[in-house]
Amino acid sequence: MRGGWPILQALVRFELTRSLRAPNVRIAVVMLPVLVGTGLVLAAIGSAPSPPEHDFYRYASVLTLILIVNFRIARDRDLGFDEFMISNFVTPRLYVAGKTVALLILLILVGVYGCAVSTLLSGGDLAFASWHALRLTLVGWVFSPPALLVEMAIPTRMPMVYVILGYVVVALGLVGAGGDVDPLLHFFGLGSEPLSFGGLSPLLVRAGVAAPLAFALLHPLCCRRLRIWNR
Amino acid sequence: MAHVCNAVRPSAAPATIWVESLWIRRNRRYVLEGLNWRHWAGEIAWIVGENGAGKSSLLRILAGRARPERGRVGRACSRAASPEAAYYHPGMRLPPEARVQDVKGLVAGLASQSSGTADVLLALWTRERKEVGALSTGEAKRLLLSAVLARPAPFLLLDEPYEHLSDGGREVLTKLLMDRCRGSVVVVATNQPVPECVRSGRVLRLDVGGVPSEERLPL
Repeated sequence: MRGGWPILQALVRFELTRSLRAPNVRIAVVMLPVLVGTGLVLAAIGSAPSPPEHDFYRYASVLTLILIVNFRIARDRDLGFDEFMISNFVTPRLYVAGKTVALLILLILVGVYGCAVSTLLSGGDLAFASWHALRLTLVGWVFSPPALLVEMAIPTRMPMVYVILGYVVVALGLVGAGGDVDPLLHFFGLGSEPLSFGGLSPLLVRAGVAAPLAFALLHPLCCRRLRIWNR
Repeated sequence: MAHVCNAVRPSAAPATIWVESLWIRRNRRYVLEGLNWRHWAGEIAWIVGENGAGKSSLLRILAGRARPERGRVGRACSRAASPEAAYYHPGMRLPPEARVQDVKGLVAGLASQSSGTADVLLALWTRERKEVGALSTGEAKRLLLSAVLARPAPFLLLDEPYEHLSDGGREVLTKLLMDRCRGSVVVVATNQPVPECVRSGRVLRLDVGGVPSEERLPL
């Protein structure tokens, strides 16, 4: 098996192209401006008590992440493509690394796209557009390690559904136990006010430090799982 | 692949694959009991037999993808080559959303140096922008096989490679394998007759409940 950067580049290019051609990513690309635009229109006509432009961007972000955060490990398993790759071309470690880097690039691309369309839709409000887009990308990356863990355990094409369900269950558990959801929000760096770039710094730290650490811890587990599957 | 013993030999010696006292069990039943078999570069080895005879299990073990119940598996090739096997089985498929050009790009990036053989299979059609999901079963199979064949591995292990191929595709594949076996160990498991154009080679016949037997081509 070969290793190194050229192989990783080839893998990332392939996985990224695959993602961009996948129907769920295409749906996300259409849905994001529709929801953001709806929020902006509702805000313009002043028909909602809370700022709908922010609420709708949050809904759009959650739905976008459900649609795009996907390592395609379960899918590859269905196809026998993981075995084709691991038997012939790459080590399990490189195979998972290629998928991880491709997902990071996809999240950045979707963030840039989200920023561009919301700047256009909001008539040039760059602060609104870039804050939400940055948050979308960071949240997606922070929640990617749990999504990878889900794909290792459950054959699903939408691991973020399980991650969000898990998050909601923990939040409800906290509320049920007489606690507060705020510690959970702060744990993931999600407790920021809209349009406060300084408020994104906890999320940035988690995305820059905690997520890579979580991936580093998860990768040996994933490689072991792939070897067991392909034995 | 820790359960496959890899060895390095002088560059003049042909690449060799062997099993010693190999026992394979499936569903509480031994499909192979104490098989001793060896094959080397120079001709194709055809593992034939009915379904359930243990062909795929044997190939999987030769590829290092499964452990035998008992026995040893070894591969030896020259110092210049890595003793890795290129392996195909019919359960492998390419992602339907990928295009032909994506797969070709991936293989070009992953295979250190193209064996050259794959280009012959790929040159059979030019629909590079077509998605794999839109290809016929035979076309998708040909694309997958050409990807496996692109690796210049010294051991080429193919399980049912002729399934779903047209007569033309079978002929091209056979020619490629005959060409490839000059420098690599080529083992093909099939429950179909050995193609008529194959003039020489070895056949390992596995039968359910029977003793494996070896024959030489032409039969």
